[in-house]
Amino acid sequence: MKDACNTLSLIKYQQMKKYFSLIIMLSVAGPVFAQQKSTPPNIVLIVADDLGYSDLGSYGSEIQTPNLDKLAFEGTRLQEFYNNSICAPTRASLLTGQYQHQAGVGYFSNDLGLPAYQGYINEQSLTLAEVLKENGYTTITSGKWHVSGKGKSLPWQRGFQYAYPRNEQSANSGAPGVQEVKTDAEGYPLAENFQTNLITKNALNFLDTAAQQHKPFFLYLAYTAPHWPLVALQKDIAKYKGKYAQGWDALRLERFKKQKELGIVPPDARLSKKDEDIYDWDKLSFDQRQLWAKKMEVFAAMVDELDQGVGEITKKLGQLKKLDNTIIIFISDNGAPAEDLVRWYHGATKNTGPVGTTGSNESQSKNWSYLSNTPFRGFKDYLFEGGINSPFIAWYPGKIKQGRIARGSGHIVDIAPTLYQLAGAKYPRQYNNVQSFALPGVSLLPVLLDNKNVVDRKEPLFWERAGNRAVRWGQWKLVSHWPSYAWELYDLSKDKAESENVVRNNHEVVSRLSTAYFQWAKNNGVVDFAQLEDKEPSSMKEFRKSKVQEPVGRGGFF
Amino acid sequence: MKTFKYFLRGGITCFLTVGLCIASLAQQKQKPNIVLILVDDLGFSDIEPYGGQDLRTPNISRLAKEGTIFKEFYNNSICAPTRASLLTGQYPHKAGVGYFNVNLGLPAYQGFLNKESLTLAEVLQQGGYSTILSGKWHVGDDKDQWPAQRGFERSFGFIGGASNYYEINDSANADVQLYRNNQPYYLPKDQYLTDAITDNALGFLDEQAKDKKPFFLYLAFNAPHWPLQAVPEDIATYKGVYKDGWDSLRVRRYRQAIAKGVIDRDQALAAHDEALQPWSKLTYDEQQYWQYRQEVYAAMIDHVDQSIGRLLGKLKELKKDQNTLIIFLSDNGAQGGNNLRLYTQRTSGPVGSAGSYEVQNSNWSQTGNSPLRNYKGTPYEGGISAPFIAWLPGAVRAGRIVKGTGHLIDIAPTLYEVAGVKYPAVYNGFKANVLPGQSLLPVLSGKTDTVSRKDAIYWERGGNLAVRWGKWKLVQLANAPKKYELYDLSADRAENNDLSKQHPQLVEQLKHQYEEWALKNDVVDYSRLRPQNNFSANERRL
Repeated sequence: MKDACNTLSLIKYQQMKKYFSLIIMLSVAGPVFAQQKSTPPNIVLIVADDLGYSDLGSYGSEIQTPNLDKLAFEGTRLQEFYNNSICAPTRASLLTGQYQHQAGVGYFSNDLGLPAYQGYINEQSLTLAEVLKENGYTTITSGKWHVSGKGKSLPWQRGFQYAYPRNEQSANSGAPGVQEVKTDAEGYPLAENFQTNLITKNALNFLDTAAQQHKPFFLYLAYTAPHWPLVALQKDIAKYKGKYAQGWDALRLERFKKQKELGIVPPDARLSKKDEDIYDWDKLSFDQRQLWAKKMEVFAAMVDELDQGVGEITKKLGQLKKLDNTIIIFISDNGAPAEDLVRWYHGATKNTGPVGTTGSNESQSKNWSYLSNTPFRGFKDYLFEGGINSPFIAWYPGKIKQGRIARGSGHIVDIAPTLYQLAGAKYPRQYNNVQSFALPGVSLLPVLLDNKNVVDRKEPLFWERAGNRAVRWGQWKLVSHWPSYAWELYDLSKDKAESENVVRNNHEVVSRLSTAYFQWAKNNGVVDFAQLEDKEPSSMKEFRKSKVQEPVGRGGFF
Repeated sequence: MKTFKYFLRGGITCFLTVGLCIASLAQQKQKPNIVLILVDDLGFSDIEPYGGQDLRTPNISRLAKEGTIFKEFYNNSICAPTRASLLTGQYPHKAGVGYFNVNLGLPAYQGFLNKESLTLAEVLQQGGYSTILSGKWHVGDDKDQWPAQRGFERSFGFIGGASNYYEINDSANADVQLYRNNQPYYLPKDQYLTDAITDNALGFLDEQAKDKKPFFLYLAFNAPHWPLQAVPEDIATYKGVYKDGWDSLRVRRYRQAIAKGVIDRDQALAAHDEALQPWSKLTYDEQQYWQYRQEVYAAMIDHVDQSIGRLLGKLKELKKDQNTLIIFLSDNGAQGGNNLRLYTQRTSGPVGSAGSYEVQNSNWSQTGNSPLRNYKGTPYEGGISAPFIAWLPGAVRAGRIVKGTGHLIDIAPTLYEVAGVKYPAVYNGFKANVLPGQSLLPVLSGKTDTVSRKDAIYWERGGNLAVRWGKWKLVQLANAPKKYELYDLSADRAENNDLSKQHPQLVEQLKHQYEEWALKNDVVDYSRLRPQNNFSANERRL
């Protein structure tokens, strides 16, 4: 069966190649591009961590992200680009083009005792670096990895020639911290050893090295920002002083308005309903508002700093004269998070300094993530749109359509076929004597390079993560939220807010999508989460609990 | 001594000469003036003489040093019932305020003072005193139940259970509802309510000085009751005082209370309230926020002390400082509750300012009640035991710490004895309730250092009940109706060791005593009265 799939995939691949050649011939930039056919484009794949759908200027944010905005406005954005709702599973899919369970990272970076849940990428799932290296690329990564374990599947074992940080502990970590961060007198990190800057700096150094090798390069730049803990440079936090005094309710409306102006959401879109436990900003006491506002100032600074890093990268590409022949893709691994670090650990784990300093260990919590995920419902680790739908920007001057906002669904499994097609790279049927899995995704090149405005996807998309399940097929999305098995059905063609569950009125759709789901689950080694629940680390159960805020009670005072 | 027996029997119809008992008071040519200072929600160790050395309360300390203080002085655990007892000498149900200033449908729970329970003002006025109230009332919302209608010739303050300390609106839309002699009174913006209460009290004293009569002043500060609002200059003086947090301060307060002699050396600190977040588990920003709240709380108490200083100055100016009995007490322990009120009715400024409306929580209140257990609203010691200081130079023994128990119901017989006034059998056509308390003059005058009390003391509030009898205390909480706890307070003031299993007969006996008391005081099972939804909204307003 798998062989058949592979064969099928390869046939598709050959067809795509033909199709690709056609594009080149039709393209205005044809002659230039044709010349470069011998030198495939450099690839920079940038992943942000826990960045919500609306956290970039080009997706509606008030946060200053001029460098990413430039890429967005000169390139193509997708309205709908899906991930796997949480770090490790997203990264496993992104790096291999497989659904996460197929790649062995069905749950997280923990080993839950089944092959689909071993917590690191298996050998049948080839990484982008392995495939591109085989096809003549210099392969580089700087930043977060999070798909290794038991000494296996570390970046330098999985095709990356240059990797930072090059130690196992950092590679395994979901929130790698730089040890012994030097700070200013008040405890804010110094620029030279701030994590975002270190990731950028190492990438820049590798680019210098790669430039001397006369080969195309592939840079996987996996920023840890803006993932908690909320720590940023004092000068960047200062930029956002007072910017969040309006609170999440008002700013959500502003972002939504801007999203409509940008065309990133349709004019008739509606905002999702607010979760009951998200506080009403206007009713909070003055001091509560101060405490909360400070957190978002730091978060904004972290996004800002990530953008500055992207600016450094593009500047370097310019210096190396690579700008004309480099594709940059920017995505986020999942939506903004609901977890509250202090609640998760039943108290602060660090408290020698205010939020933003290295003496703190805090998260923005669902109150602010509710803003980050505008206009959607849900958060990181949820399969509602707020958890799995985040920005996608592709930039390739002269090749990728400028200013396009494409419709239809993209997914992280599409990145591998897209890049392989673009690079003219062959996806090996066997690698290290292991039969490789076929790629389930579709190439996005038609919407990036061609006049197609909508991602052409015939097959449904599937999700399973810690018992949360979802299917997206055309306009329909079937979703359930653990510990419930109850399917909810939303018509995303008119209800991306997922506010009107139409499961009762669409019996046939539910049957069709759920049947497809169970078939997919079977093919991918997905099991009912009830079988795994007791193997789940208790810290993850606490993690889940920390996403619910205490109700605003009157407190029994008299 | 005959008088005391009368009190003990509770059947006073006539009054003997006070001077027989208290030589120094008898020597005084005029009747002494009386100032009864009540503070609101101040915990056991929330003043310096009771172990709160983080606070500056020099004037209260002076009263304590020159006067007599109690280790065990009891109240009714919550505002309105305490005030009902204090003002009438009755148990709260007997006075009609068995629950709160809300009407639960039975006479003992009507929510305002009944006419059979005479107020201190009514009795003392009849005995030739000028009667003055400045501050909080909270024992009758309707106008016919207001202070001026219950014996206070001069009155200033607010009627309900809580008030903002600062006005934020103009006079046409005043938010702070004050009355002066039954007339609405506008608190000018930027004037602090504690000052207004003090100013009016002192103003009344000036006026009254022309009357050539002794006076009774009931000075009922609402500080340090929420909302946490204080004078910025006062707050600033506590900057950094609370940076080490509530956990270490609670232990420090306990040690200091022992050093001050208000807690016996062999007594333990009450077990830690496990519902509270340890200080070390707060984020840095949370620590800043919480310590600032306590700076505000301290400033509220500090300002009360400053006001008492002004009162002492006024008495001296009026040459009444040698002939005025001052009693200082709190209506209940510090306010508990772990549910931070995220939504507040004022949201324009930081805690402490006029633009805030913040409520105390258990974390600092556990320190406020240190070393005692629990909070306002329960009959554990932290709820019902608070400071008591009596001061009258030359008449009240200086520097004494009294052994034995005092209770609010003792204040009326004490004051009537001091004033040499008769408690009438009938007043305005109403047959007066007999007084269940006993005069504390024997211990105040220094005749003895131990309160001699034969009757047990009883509590019931919202289904929480308790009996104190000798060294024993029986406790039963509303949320555990069948569970009776028994403590030996002579060895375990902290109420850490429930001895009910070891002394089942004693438990039965105290339950029986309680039943008898309940019957006599028209106390009914709270589950029959439990307010429904429409009530909670009413309560919130207060």
